[in-house]
Amino acid sequence: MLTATPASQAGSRPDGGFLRFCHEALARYGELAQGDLVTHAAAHDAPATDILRFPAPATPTAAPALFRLQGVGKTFPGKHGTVTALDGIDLDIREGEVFGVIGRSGAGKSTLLRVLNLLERPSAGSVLLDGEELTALPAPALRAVRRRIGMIFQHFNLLASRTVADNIALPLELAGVPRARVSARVDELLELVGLTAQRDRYPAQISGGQKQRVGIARALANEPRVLLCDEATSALDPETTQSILELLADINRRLNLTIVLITHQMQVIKAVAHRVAVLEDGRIVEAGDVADVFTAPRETLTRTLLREVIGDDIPPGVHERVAALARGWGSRGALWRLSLRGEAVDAPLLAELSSLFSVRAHLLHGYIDEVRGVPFGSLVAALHGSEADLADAAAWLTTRGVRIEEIAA
Amino acid sequence: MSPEMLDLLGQSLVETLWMVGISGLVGTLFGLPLGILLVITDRGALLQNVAFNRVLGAVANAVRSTPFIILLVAIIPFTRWVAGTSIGTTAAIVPLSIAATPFIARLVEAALREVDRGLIEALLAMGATPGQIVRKVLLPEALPGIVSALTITIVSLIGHSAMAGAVGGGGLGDLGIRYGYQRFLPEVMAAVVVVLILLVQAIQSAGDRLARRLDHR
Ligand SMILES: Nc1ncnc2c1ncn2[C@@H]1O[C@H](COP(=O)(O)OP(=O)(O)O)[C@@H](O)[C@H]1O
Ligand SMILES: [Mg+2]
Repeated sequence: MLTATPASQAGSRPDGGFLRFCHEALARYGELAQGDLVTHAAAHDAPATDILRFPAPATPTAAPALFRLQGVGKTFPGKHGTVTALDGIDLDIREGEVFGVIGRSGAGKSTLLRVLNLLERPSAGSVLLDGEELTALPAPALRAVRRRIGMIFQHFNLLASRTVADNIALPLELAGVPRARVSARVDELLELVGLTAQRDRYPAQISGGQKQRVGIARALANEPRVLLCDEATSALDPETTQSILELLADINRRLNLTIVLITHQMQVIKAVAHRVAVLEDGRIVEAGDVADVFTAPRETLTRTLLREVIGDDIPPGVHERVAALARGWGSRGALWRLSLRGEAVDAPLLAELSSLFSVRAHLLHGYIDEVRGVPFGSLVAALHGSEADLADAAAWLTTRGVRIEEIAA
Repeated sequence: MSPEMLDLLGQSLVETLWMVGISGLVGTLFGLPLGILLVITDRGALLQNVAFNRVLGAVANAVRSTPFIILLVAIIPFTRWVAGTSIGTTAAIVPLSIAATPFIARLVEAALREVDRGLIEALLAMGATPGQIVRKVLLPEALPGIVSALTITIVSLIGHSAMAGAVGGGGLGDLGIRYGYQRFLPEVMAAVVVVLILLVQAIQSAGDRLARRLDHR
């Protein structure tokens, strides 16, 4: 099933005029026609508490698909029957984007990434790169394709027997690049990742962050079409993680290189990804623009994962006191979580609410953040007013692009 | 000890070095590729061929479990066919090489298995052929281990070569038996033992030093 945007939601767009909406909608349907952002039907059933969801995402300009996965499945023979690592994966990865895949350990992230260069051969479905079916390629052709797909790893996988420079030179040697060209290219790459001074050291003599830089330089040596990153920052401390992510984002911008990264950390997605797919038990349960998934997560898993980056839990003490208060109000009170994005973040919504309706809002908890230039936030408020007033207030907030979720008192 | 005895000691040392050196070389020539094959044809490996792997492993085990003195005698016809004679130093090289080959193969296999699977993955992802993976990753990464394996092999060949006297192979061990034991010359026996100890020490420490120099982990 496709995540389509009903045109009737045009008026409720929080962050743009009608013309812009039409423009985006056109762009969006254009992509949909290509089978973009395909997820499972179950993922689209909104939670009952959703009074209204955000309008569907405005995706950036539609680039052609670099990778297209159709119905990809992968099973492994295990001790207790077969293990299904991937199940019915449909996915497009566009030229020039940073595509993130997030999920818990064992969700199938690594398998999914390894299917892209056929390190793992899918048990079902097809893997297209630039429209070419990879699963049908004979070994030599597949090796040629792999030379144009860079890959970096959680544990770097550098050769201990080679210096930094010689590690970077390895893929060039494999491709039969003449010696003179190799050394010039290695110098370029060392410069790109900021390791010129470490060129003659061995991997054992450099830090984890530097090792990953070597990994990145090595992956870029043959000027790949795409860079695959398997938990590239999971073995690094937070500061080093940040610097590696900045390097990846920089490479994506400067070289317009497509990057596919898998991670179990939402921070990584937030820092560099344009689009994200949430993987659970081998299936994509949610996918979309990072800004949309962050501001309007549909799945419980997504919310849980998001909680790592945005502490949106109401402190238990506060929750108890307010719940007691709200119970005292009976039908004249409600506990709402208001999700905001774009312009709604800047508007004095609660003040306006009180002046427009006879509703009082007690603000309990809130945060404002920004992802890919889109401000978003969440406010938890206890509201006091008649049922009719609360309904009017909800309707008004909805027109202002606010998503309301009722929280059990 | 008489000058003649010293002469004899020197000559025996040369014979030992010759037997050990050549059989070590031949053993490496065959054992190294066999060790590589044992690793890459294993289940789930680069060029999986389980049947071939089983047969190769069984043959290696069979040769390794045959006591050297029995091997020495059992293959005399083969030795005559290869070396033209079944007596003498050169003839002793044949059974020594045959004993060394599976020994080296197994030790090389163990050294290659130490290479991180992630490195092979990385090379596969780069589009490397199986041959490139062996040359660019498996061998260079396992080199310190392989050097250690060869050191152990040479030391153990020195021990085996003492039995070469049984086919008139000469060498230090033979000298010790014939003069030290049979002619009851304890000082010759002592000299042989001292020279062997020094030889083994020198080889072991040279091998260790080389392995350490090559190891950048
Ligand atoms: N080579 C394999 N053999 C058997 N089972 C595997 C293999 N690779 C992965 N799996 C199984 O597939 C599932 C997904 O694994 P993986 O893709 O590594 O997950 P993730 O990277 O999200 O932690 C897990 O249940 C794992 O045990
Ligand atoms: Mg993984």
